[in-house]
Amino acid sequence: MKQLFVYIFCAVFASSFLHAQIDRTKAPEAGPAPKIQIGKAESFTLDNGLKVFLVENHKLPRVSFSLTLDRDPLTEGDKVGYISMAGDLMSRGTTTRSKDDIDAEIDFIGASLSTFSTGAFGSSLKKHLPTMLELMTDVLFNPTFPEEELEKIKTEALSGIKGSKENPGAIAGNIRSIILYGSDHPYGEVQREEFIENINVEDCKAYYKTYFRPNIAYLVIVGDIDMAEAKPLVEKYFGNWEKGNVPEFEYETPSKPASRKVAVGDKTAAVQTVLSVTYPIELKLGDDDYIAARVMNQILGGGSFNARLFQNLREEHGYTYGAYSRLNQDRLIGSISAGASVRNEVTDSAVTEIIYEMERIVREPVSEENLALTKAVMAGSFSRSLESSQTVARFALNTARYNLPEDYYETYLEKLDAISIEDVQNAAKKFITPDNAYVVAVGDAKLLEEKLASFGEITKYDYYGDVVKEADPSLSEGIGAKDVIEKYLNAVGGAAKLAEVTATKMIMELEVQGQKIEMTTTRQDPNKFSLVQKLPPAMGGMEMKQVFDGEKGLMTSPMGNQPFPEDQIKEMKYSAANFMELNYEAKGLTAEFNGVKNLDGQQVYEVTFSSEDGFSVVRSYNIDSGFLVKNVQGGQSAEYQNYAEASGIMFPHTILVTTPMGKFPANVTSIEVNPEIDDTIFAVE
Amino acid sequence: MKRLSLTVFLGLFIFSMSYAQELNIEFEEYDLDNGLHVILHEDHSVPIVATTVLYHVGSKDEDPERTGFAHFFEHLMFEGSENLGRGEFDDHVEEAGGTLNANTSQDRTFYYEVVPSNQLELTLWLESERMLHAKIDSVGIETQREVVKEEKRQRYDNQPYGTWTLNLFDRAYKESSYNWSPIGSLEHLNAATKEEFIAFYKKFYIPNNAVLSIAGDIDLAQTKEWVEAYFGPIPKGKEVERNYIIEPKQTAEVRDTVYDNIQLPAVFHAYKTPAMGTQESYAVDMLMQLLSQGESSRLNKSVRDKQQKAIQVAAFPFSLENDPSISVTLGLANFGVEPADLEEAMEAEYEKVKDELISENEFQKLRNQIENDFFSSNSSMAGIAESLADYYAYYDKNTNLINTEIEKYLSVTREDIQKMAQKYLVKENRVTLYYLPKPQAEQEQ
Repeated sequence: MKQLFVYIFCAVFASSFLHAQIDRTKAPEAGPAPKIQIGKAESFTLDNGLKVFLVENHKLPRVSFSLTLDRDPLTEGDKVGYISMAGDLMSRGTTTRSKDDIDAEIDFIGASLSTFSTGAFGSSLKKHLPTMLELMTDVLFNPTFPEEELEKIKTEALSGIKGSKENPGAIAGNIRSIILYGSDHPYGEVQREEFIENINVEDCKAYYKTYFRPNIAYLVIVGDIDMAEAKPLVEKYFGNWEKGNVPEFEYETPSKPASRKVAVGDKTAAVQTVLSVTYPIELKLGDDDYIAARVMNQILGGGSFNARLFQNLREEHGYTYGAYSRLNQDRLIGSISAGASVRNEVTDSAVTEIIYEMERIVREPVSEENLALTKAVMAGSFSRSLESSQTVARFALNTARYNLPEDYYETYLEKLDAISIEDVQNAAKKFITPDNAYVVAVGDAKLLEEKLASFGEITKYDYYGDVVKEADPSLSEGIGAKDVIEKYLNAVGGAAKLAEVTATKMIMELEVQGQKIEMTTTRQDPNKFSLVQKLPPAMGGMEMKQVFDGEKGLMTSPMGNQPFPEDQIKEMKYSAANFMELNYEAKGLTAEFNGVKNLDGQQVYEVTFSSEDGFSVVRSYNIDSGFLVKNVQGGQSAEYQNYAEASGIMFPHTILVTTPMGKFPANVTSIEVNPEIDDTIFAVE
Repeated sequence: MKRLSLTVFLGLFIFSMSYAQELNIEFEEYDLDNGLHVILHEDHSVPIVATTVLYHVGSKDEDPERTGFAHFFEHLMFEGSENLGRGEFDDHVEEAGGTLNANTSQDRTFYYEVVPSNQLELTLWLESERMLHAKIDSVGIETQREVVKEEKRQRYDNQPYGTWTLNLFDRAYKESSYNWSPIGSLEHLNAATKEEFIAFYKKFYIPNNAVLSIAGDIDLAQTKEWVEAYFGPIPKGKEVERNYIIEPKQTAEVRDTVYDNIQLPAVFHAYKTPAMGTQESYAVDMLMQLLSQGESSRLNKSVRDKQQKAIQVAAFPFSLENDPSISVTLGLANFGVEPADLEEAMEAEYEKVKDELISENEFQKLRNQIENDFFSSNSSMAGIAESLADYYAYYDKNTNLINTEIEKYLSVTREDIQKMAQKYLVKENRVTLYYLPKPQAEQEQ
C-alpha cells in the first residue's frame, strides 16, 4: 500500500516535473539508441539446385514468392530487346491458359503476378496461395510465347523509341551506354527499330529454354508462412523443374578514358542541358571499401539536402533544381555519374562546379561533423528500411549472390560507424577521377560545342549513340556568306525572277499522330503574313490563326486571342518576307558565314543573319544544290526537303517541323505565286 | 525532393487503404485541454516511430483571392520557429537518422517525421514549435515563393499532361472552392502580404484544428507526458468557421480541349459523385475498380488489351470531403488512334455496366480485390498514423473505421454498382477533356 502510494506520487511528480522542465530553446536529448534487429532468413536447397529463402512475417495474412535467375549478363547483337520481351511473354499464354484466363484468374483472387527476363514475382493473401502458386508455376513452366502477343509488345517498343527520340534523358542514356561500355558489351547495347523487327518467338523460346533453370535460381518467400508449410509447397510446385546447363560468359572489363573527353548529343530546341560526368568503376557490394565509397558518394552528391553537389549547384548558384552523384555497384562493371539538368547558358559553369566538387573531395579530408551527419543519415535510412520484410529478404539474397559474410548486414551499422575520415578520402582518391572521365551533355549541340571545348576533345553522337560524321572544313575555303546566298538565289530561280514575286499562298498538310492538320500560309511582301490552321474533326475541328500586318500580330484560337509579344513582332518583321535572302542588306540584315557543317549526313553551309535590333536566325544550305535545308530561330527549327518547281521557282515540298514533341512532316499540297489576295486577311483586330 | 510533393492523387491513396473485420489496429485517442486531438498506436516490431500532424486546412478553405495559401504554408512551415533557425528543422531530423515530408490536398495539410524510436521527443519538440510559434518572415516568404514557382514548373507546366487536375477541377467546380487546386495562383502568392500569411497561420494552425497521430515503438505513458509537455501549453484558437459554397448541380456536359507538349492524345472524364464516407461513395469506388483495377478489368481488357486503343487507362474516385466529389476515368491513346475513337470505346464500357448487371463471378472478384488491398495497406507505421488521422478528421471522428471500413464495401451489392453507373456515369454529369499535342505553326520559311 505504501509502496503503491509512492509510485503514484512519483508518477504525478514526474509528470509535472517534466512539464516544467522542457527547454524549448534546444533540441531534446535522444534516449538510448534502440537495438536494431534484422529478421532471420531460413534457407534450403531442392535437389534440382533451386535455392530457397524464407523470411517469416505474420503481421498481415499475405505471402509473396519472388524468383530470381542469377546468370551472367548477355549480349543480344542485332536483336536488342528480345530478352526482356521473352520475360514479358511468359505470362501472356500457357499450354492451358490464354492471356485472358491468366488475367482473370489472378485478378479474381486479388493477387498480382508478373514475369520478367530474370525471374517472376507473385503475391497474394495467404488463403489464395495455392491458386497463386498454380498460376505462377504455370507461366513459369508452360509458356507458349504467342505470336500475336509478341506483335503487341513489339509495337509498344517501337512507339517507345519514337517517343524517346526527343527525350534528352534517353539520348544521354544511349550515349552513356555506348561510351562507357562499348557496343559489344552487354551494358553497351542500344535498342534500334530494325533490331526490334528482327525479333521472333523462336528467339524468346530459346532464351527461356536455356536460362529458366532451377540451378541458377533463387526463390525468396516472404510473409505469413513458416518452414513446415513452405517446404512441401516448394517441393510440390518447383520440385519437378528440370536442371539445365546454363552457359557462362566473360567480357573484357571496360576502362576509363586516358584523358577527359566530351560527348555531345543534340536535342534541337532544348532549353536545358542534361549533364553528367561519368566513367566506369570496378566496385561491387561486399568489397572492402564498398561502404566507405557509399559514404563518400553520399557526401559528394547523395540524395540529402546537405550533399555538396546539391548545395553548390542549386543552393549557391541556382543552376538547377537538383544535382546528384550516383555510384553504381555491379559484379561485372560499375559506374559513377555526377550530374544535373541545367539552364543552357550555365552549362560550362556547371561542369566546372561538378569537377570542382569532385576534386575537392579527393583533395580535402571531410570534416568530422560532415562525416557524422552523413553516417546518421545512412544509419537512419538503413534502420527504417528494415520495416519492410522484403528488405530482409533482399539482404539474404545479396548475401548469397555476392558471397558476403553471413553477418554482413547484422554488422552493417558497426561497419558504417567505423568509417574514418581517412577511409572516405581513400575511397575518393580511388573512385573519383574527374580527369579520366566523360562529360556527357545533351542539349543545343552548337552551344555545347562552344561551351565545352575547354573540358576535352569533343565527339558528337546521335540518338543511337553513333558518332556523327563531321563536316570537311576544307570545303569552306575561299567561300563567304555572299557566295552562299547567291548560290541559293540562283538555285531557286535567280534574283531577277524572285524579285517579281510579291506574294505566295501555300497549303500544307501537317501530320501529327495520324491526324492531318491543314495549314495555309500567305505572304505579301514586304512582310505581311497569315497562317490559318484547321484541325480535323477528331481534334475538335477548330481553326487557329496567326496574322501579322507588318507592324503588329495576333494569334486567334478558340482558347482566346493573344497579341504577338515584342520579340515575335521583331522576328516577323524580318522573316515574313517571301525570300529573306533577297536584298537582305537593304532590309537591315547582316550575314555571317559559319563554315561547313554536317547536317544528318549532308554537308551544308551555315549562315547567321542578324539585325542591329537583336533579330537572329541560322540558315543552312546544301553545298551541292545550294537549296535552303534548315532554319533555326528562337529555339524552333524547320527542315526543308523535296524541292520542286512551281511557277518557275523551286519551293520545298516537305517541311519537317520540330516541336517539343518531336519532328513532324508537313507536305505542301499547293503553291500559288502572286495570287489575288484580299488584304483584309492580314488585318489585326 | 524534400517537401516538394503535393499529393494530387490523395483521394486515390486514401481509398486504397481499405480495412477488414479481422484486422485489429489498436489505438488510444483523447483531446488535450486546448482541443488538440491525439491518437496513439503502439507497435514494437521495429524500433521506429512515425509522428504526424494533420491540420484540417486545404485549398478549399482559402480565400478565392488568395489561392495556394494552404500549400504555400506547407513550404513556409519548414522555415523555422522562434527556437529553430532556417534549415534547422531538416537538419535535426536528418541528424537523428530520420526522414520527413509534408503534403497538401484540397482538404488538409499533413506533416510527418519517421525517426528511430529514441528520437520521439525530438519530433514532438519540432512539431510543437511549428504549432506554437512558427517563423513567418519576409526572408522565408521570398525564398519559398521561388521554390513554389519552380515546383509549379516542374510538376505541372513541364510535365506531359501535368495540368490535367488543374483543368478538370477548374471546369468541374464553378461556384465552390474546389474550383482551384492546391498549387493555387502564383499571382495571389506574389500579391499577399506578410500580415495575411500571419492571419492564415493564426486562423488554421491551432491545436483545435489539428490531429496529432503517433504510431510505432512507443511507451504510451511516456508519450502522453511528452505530448502534454510540448503541446499542452499551446493556446487554443478561435473555432474555425467554414463557409463552404455548395456547388450547384451540373446540368450539361462540359467539353474542352487542352494543347500540351505531349506525344499521344488523352481523354479525361470527370463525373460528379458523392463525397467520401457516404454509402453511395463505396459503391462508386467499386464501380471505378470494376472499370480499371487489374488486367482483367473492363477498360484494361477491352479498350487497352483487345482493341489496342489506349496504351494506358485508369478509373478512380478523387474522394473529397464535401459534396460533390469527382471520379475520373482516363485513357491515353495508342499511336494513331483518334481521341474520339478512344472516347467511344471508353463510353461503350460505361454503357455495358449500365445495361447488364455484372456477373456473380466478377462481383466476387471485386470483393476479393478489396480484401487483398485491405491487408496490403497499413503495413508501415507512417501509413497507420496517417490513416488514423484521416479517419478522425474526415469521417466525423470515426477513427475506428480503420478497422471496420471494409464492412461498408462488403455491404455493396451488384445492383448498387449498376445503379451508380446509371445515376452518375451520364454525360450531363461530367467534364470531358481532350489533351492534344500542340501543333507548332511554321512562321517563316
